[in-house]
Amino acid sequence: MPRKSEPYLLLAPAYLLIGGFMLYPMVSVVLLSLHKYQLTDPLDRPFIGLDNYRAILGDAHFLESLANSAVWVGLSLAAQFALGFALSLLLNTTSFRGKGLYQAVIFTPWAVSGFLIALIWAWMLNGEFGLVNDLFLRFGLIDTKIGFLSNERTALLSCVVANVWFGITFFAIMLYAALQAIPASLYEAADMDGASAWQTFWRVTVPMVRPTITVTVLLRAIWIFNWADLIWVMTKGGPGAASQTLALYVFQKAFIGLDFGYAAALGVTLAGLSLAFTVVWLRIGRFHEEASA
Amino acid sequence: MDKPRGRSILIGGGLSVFLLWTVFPLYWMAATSITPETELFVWPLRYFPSTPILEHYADVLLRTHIPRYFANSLTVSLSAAAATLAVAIPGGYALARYRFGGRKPTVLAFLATQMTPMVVLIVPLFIVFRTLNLIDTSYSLIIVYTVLNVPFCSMMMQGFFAGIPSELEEAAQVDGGTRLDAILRVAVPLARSGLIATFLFAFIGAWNELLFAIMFLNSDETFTLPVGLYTFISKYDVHWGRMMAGATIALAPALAVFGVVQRYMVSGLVSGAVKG
Amino acid sequence: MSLSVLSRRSMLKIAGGAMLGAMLPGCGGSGGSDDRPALSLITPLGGSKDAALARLANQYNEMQSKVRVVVNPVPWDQAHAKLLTMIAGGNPPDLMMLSGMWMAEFRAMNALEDISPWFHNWSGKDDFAPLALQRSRIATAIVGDTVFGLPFEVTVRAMFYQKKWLDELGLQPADTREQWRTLLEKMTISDKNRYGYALRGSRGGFWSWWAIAEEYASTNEWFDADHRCIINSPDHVKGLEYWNAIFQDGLTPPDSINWGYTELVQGFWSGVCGCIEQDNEVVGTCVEHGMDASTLVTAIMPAGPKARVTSNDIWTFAMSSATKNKDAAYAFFEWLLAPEQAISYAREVGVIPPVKQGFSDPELSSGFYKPFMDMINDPTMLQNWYPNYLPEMGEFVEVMVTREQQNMLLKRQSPQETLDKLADFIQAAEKKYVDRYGPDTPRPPEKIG
Repeated sequence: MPRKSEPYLLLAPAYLLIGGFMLYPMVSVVLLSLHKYQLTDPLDRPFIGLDNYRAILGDAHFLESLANSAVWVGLSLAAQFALGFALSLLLNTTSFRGKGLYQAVIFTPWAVSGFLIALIWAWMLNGEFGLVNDLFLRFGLIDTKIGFLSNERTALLSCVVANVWFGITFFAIMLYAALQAIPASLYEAADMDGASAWQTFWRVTVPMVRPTITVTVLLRAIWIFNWADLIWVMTKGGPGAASQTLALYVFQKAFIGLDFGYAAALGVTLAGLSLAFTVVWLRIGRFHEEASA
Repeated sequence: MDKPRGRSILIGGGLSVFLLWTVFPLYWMAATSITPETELFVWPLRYFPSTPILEHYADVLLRTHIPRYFANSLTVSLSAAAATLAVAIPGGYALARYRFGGRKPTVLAFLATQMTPMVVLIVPLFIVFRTLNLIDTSYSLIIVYTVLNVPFCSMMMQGFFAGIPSELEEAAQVDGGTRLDAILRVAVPLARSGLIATFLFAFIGAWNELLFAIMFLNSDETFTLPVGLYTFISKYDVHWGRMMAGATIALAPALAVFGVVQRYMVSGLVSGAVKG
Repeated sequence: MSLSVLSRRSMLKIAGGAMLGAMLPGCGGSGGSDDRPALSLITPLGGSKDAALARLANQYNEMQSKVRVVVNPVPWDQAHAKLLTMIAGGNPPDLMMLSGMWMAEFRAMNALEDISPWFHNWSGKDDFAPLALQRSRIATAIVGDTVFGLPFEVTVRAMFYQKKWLDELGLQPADTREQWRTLLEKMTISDKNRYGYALRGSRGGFWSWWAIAEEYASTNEWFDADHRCIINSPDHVKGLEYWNAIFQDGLTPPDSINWGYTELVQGFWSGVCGCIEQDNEVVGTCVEHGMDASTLVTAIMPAGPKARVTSNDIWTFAMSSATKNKDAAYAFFEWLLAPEQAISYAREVGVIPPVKQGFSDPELSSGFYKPFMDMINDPTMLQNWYPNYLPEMGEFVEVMVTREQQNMLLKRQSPQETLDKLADFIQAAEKKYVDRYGPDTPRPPEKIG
């Protein structure tokens, strides 16, 4: 019989590492959010309770950023998940010479640093010399060049596209592996039952990959929600506040507005929203029930 | 028969579209790296430079410190990935094999560390590392990358271990071995491909990271590759040629490793995809 | 039972990692076998300036044996954030280069050392040019007799033109804003991908249109005698309308709404835009990208209806209040800020040194640099000013103005509404300052020098 302490011992390195390095920062952020702390007023740090949070509720820029974040996360996630899943299905159903090389190339975006992705895509979407404009013009899709990043309707979308280019890779890799793990016997059984491809997909494939979907979508959602440097390098949140997301707003408040107390409260709020999403999502995915099965 | 033929055309078409979509920005990056700066801003656009040059690569390799930054990134990323694995293996095993009260809270705590934006954690983390006298050393990055990677990598390893039947380990223990032996001699070898997959994720994450590298490092000798590339954006100039040459150089090892390892990686993930 | 929870394999991995770590170059950032105490200098300026400073540091290190100056470059985009993190995190560098804009912030953070006692006893203090000192006072690097930072670079703005385009049109650089507007219209041929102007629609655009507003209002005051903000006066609004019109009338590429410093300079030397107003250091950038006397001409800023404004600013050296090597730092300052070094640096990177001799240096007044020198030596110009003593200025310029001006360019609000919002913000900031420090706020000097 395994000893009761064993799992804790095995997790001890993780607990020590995370506890040792993350506990103090996370606690200090929460504490800081309850104080007034302007960097330019370093000696004046009174405890103000929930005042920062009250200010957030009335902050129009916060609400604006939140709306943008919702679009940013929602669109990016939906697109990269759908396309990544599609790619993984394609990879799963075929085998061809050079597939290894193909996979190596198709997974490359994951290896590119965030700010480089932003720079390359910003340049491709450039209103004067951009590749995308050139191609669209050549194929007759548009008549005049479009300033993708300078138009308030397309600025955030442009960032989404860059995000999707990067994120398809993540889902493709993880879901491809999950698909490959499905035992062939299940497919054979469905075949013998005379199920159509569509039915097989919904009755065999999807349930088997659902746990993977649950975890990967959750993590990617949280990562995207917190991701600031792609948008910062592409549009700096502009034009106006068209592409300003919450993550960017936190950065601005901290390092430009120098209001660390308020930024901390925003950070906690961000984390709280992620947590709420996690709880709801895991419930939907019936995560814990699956796990204990 | 028409049906399988039509289907393969569809699949082939789909795969080609994905390839094109993935490759185009990378092609653009590589093409820019061999384009003279005078040809960068022309309209109509050129898809290949009329006079390709290797000047940017020469610049980057001989006249900047990029090679040193490359070496730094290599050592930091390898160390961080190794350390991550060292912690994620036992952690993932525990989450996979045991029912214990702390399981749910542990998973939630792991997720919680990913939820706070790094921007607000930067200063307190800086204080932690300053207290330990590790600011401006590569150790600070190795540690912080490990800390940031452990939660996701533990959950990955959990999935792989969960995909291996536990009977083999139980058999090893019945034969008189300890639990530790069971892990080392049975579970780990079986999850070998999963190890590689996790190692790769951790490595790539560390390789690309920018924010902590900027904030924790001061001396030029310690800079990692992303920081080095970022310095090509100066106050009023972006050195496109050099930056893309540097970026291509940065991509090369990742591509090579992917090429060799992706086979293991995918099959590794296969043997126990992240199920939780 | 063994309580060791680390598998043998994991231990090997950690050991391997540690060994790799031990082989890491510059693990402690010490770089070499030099035993002298280090004096760290953070520089955010990039490119040739970092190299010039490194060269000076090496020269100094070879000249004396007491201390070793280490120059630490920082990527420009995150330089401000990094300095803040270092200071808030308790590990500031010994010496820093700060822009005139950052001075007030860093002072308010108690991050800077008061170097007044040393300064007043230093013979070199008389070498500084009056304009440099004036600008230092505006930046609050020098307040009354207290000194927190000293100027090292003077930057000033002038107009850059595509000479070829002017020659084709048979025109000369403009002397007034009216002429300038006509010039822009003539230079704009959007079919040929040519635009008259490179508008700075994003961060830093403030510096462009504020000068114009000052030209229309013929004053650089921000407040009246009762500390009420006046930047939304009808004349100021006219100035902003003039700038807005350049964008709305298509004299600048539509993408320029997102253009910061980098993009607009790029827009110029890449041959898209006919004209930009920029600092003297940009001359070097243009030359690097292949411009020469046949393709580039610089000229003094045009005059608005009521005034001609010179926009200048400084970069300063400051000492951290937490430094342990004050004496060594003072010694280094005395050497670095001496005219010889300041001029050699300025010649190398294309800025104006803050010393009197620099303002009449023949090399720095020739060729493309002449209009810049003319502008800072002309006592009739209106000195560009902003209330730098307000800690909120950083957020104001970087975030608030950027957002509001872009909303105006997007036609979501009028220039009047824009200036009203900005005036409200500054009003509140001023009130806070006055409540705390009293009504004796710094006032702008009218003329330069």
